[in-house]
Amino acid sequence: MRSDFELRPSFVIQISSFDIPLFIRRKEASTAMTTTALPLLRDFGDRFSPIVVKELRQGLRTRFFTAALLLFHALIILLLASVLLDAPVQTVNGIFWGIAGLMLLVVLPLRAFNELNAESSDGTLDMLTLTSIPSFRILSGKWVALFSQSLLVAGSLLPYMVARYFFGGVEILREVAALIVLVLASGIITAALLAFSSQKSVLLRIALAVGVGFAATPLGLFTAFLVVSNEGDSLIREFLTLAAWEKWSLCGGIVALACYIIWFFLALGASRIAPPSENQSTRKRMIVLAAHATLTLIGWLLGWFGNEAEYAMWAFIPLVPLTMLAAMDVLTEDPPLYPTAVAVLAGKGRAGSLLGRILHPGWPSGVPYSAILVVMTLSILVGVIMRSSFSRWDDFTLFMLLLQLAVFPPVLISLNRSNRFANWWVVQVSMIAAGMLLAVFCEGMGARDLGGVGALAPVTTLFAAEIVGYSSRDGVLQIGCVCALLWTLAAFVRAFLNFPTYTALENEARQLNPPRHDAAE
Amino acid sequence: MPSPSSHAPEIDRSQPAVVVEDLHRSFGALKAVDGVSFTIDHGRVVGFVGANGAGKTTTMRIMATLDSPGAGRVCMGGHNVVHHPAKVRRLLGWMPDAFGTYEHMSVLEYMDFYARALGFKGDERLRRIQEVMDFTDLTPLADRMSNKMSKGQTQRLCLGRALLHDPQILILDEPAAGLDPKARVELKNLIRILAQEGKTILISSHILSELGEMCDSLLFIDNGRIVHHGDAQSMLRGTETAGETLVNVQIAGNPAKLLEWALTAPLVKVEDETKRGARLRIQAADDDTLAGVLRRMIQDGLPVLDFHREERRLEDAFIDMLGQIDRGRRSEPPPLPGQNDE
Repeated sequence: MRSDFELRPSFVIQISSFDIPLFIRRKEASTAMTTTALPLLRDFGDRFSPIVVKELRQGLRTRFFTAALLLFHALIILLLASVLLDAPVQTVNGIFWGIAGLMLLVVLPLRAFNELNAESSDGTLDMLTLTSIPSFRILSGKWVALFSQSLLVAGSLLPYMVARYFFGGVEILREVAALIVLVLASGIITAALLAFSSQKSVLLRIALAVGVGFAATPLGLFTAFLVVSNEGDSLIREFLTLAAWEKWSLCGGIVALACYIIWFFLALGASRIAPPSENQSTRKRMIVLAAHATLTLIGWLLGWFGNEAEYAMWAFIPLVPLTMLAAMDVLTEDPPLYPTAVAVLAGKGRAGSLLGRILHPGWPSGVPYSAILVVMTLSILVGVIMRSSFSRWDDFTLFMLLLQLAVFPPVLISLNRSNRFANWWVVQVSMIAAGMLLAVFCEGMGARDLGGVGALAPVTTLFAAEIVGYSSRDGVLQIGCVCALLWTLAAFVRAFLNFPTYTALENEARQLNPPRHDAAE
Repeated sequence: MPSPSSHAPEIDRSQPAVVVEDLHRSFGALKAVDGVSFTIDHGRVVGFVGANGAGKTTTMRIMATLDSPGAGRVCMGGHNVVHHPAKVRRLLGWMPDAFGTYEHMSVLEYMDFYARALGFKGDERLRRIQEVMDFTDLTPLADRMSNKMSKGQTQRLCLGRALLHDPQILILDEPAAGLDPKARVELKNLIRILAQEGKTILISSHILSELGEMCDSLLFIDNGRIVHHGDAQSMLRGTETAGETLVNVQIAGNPAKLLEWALTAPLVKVEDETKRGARLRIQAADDDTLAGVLRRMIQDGLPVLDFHREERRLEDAFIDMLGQIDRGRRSEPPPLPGQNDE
């Protein structure tokens, strides 16, 4: 085959001179490796995910982790030593939990800040893709490794908690509850930062990290409330008076919600780094739909059968941000390019095609999907209004409607053409900025009525309602809701215009031969 | 040399190893790949040549399922990259031009990570790592941090990773870039052994002489289009100016004598002056005419020390080819207004 090539003989002669020493060296070294190095690779069993093994091997060796761990323990030891010098126990408790919170909620999760972007920019993500490890396993493996290091730090707090118990002034149940809240919050923040680390823009990642920080502030404050304030003590006592099933339901519900949020962020990140041939969306959408349906059902049940209709808010309040996040996720997905991405549902006939219009990857199917989530969430509120004597279509209801419909305008506005995810956030931030500018302008000009212009878009309507004052507020909110519905309708139209892409891919997927006929392609 | 493993994917040998048909890929207004078509048979080593931005890496990334084709068909081992990307990945070894290693991870751990990721378990994993590390001569570097190695060692690490699952098709993007001569020879050695194993290899490189040595045939790409596909000899022949030969002549004494002689000699033109003579372009390619020119030089009293035909290099042939294409483009009439508006 290669005999016709003139230059080859000289090449072989040249190479031969390297062959002998090279292979001799190989044989010697290979014997050495068999006896020493290779057994070291048994440190993690085959059951561990390769990503977990890699991340743990790397993560535990980083200077950052070692330095942070040593500094953390040095500070805690110094703090406890101060008790022996008659420092007030209450102050020491506050500082102790402040340091623990800083470590678990800020320092350790921040290691996820650049994780996926680094894999992408270093070119290692391509190589991971070629190993056929699913993107979700990459995300989950990284999260498990990072979170287990946080657990290691949280676990190392236990001896200090015992020591403080002997110093006095410590209510053990409150401390354990605070530690559990911190650990759960740490897991959620790590998952969120990991998901957002898929974005190239540092500015966007910083902005999102700040947003995550704001969103997590209530959890930090709740921890402080638990361990420092006297009301924390009465909250624990109140919890202890609940029936056993109520205690388990509450604790189980909180843990389940935390697990769901963590899973959601990991799935969000996975769909951002997935190769175009991989479908990371359909399964995610089905799980999100199931979770939202469950929460909606709980909301209805609490609303209809609870002692008070407002109990439904326990389900409604968490659903509001979760719906917005889920909608943001699906509305920023790129449309699929490969038939493999729609093959799951394409093979299920007409029903599959119909379901595909809400479950296939890509923003066009994301529009009706998001609308379903919004309707489900708002239906709880409708249930409350129908049963409650004081609730009506008041400001709160309209605010919530606007908030939920605010997810759609970025589908129609393009400020960042190359990245839909960035575009969604840029549009929302621009809307907030426009609302604030409008408020400043109207205040400066003394023309509050001009604020009504803000009713053109959902986010700016929230500002406009404040600008125009109490008398015109209802009118502005109602106009804002009508405009928001028009935005939603326009998003639907744009989505429908893009549905032929799905039809073409579905046809292509159906025509694909089964694996045994591949060669005949 | 890596032995076949149980993870070796199936390949359909009744079809060419690589089929690329009318492949297109654009990035905005830029047409990176514009109707590329070629096939590669099993066990062939093919060089992929082109200037920076010619479309080599884009084509290779599409073949490796890392990018999606805008239009056209790409089949690797009988599997369409769009329809069966997972199968294609299993039979493909990919070595990119730029890739990162991991911090705080030794060479051994790096290989272990990818072996685990590819599904190797237990003793089979350890055996496979050892085989590949022996083959790529990475064993002495087992404990070295993977991000603290020389360029040549890193290239061998990347090749080792690409070989872990014993792929039948290898795509190597600029594997010799930045390597010192010794590392280049070692890399060529490895590629030669892999070719003898019957693997299909597509290599891109800027160093054409190296590709000429290693490859059965060469694919030349320019502006997203294949401009030549054939072996090195056909490339050299194809771009040779018909009926002309360059001859390097050295004489004893003053080289001006040679230049004066060339002015009056039939069929001879001076191409360049050299320190002890000149490069002459002779309007003939047959041996008899060349011998006649040498005979006449001696009869006319020139003290000829050296007279030899210049071998054309692949680089020259490639540049000539690009020049021919460029001249062809310029000679085309400009498009009429509105002709390109569709």
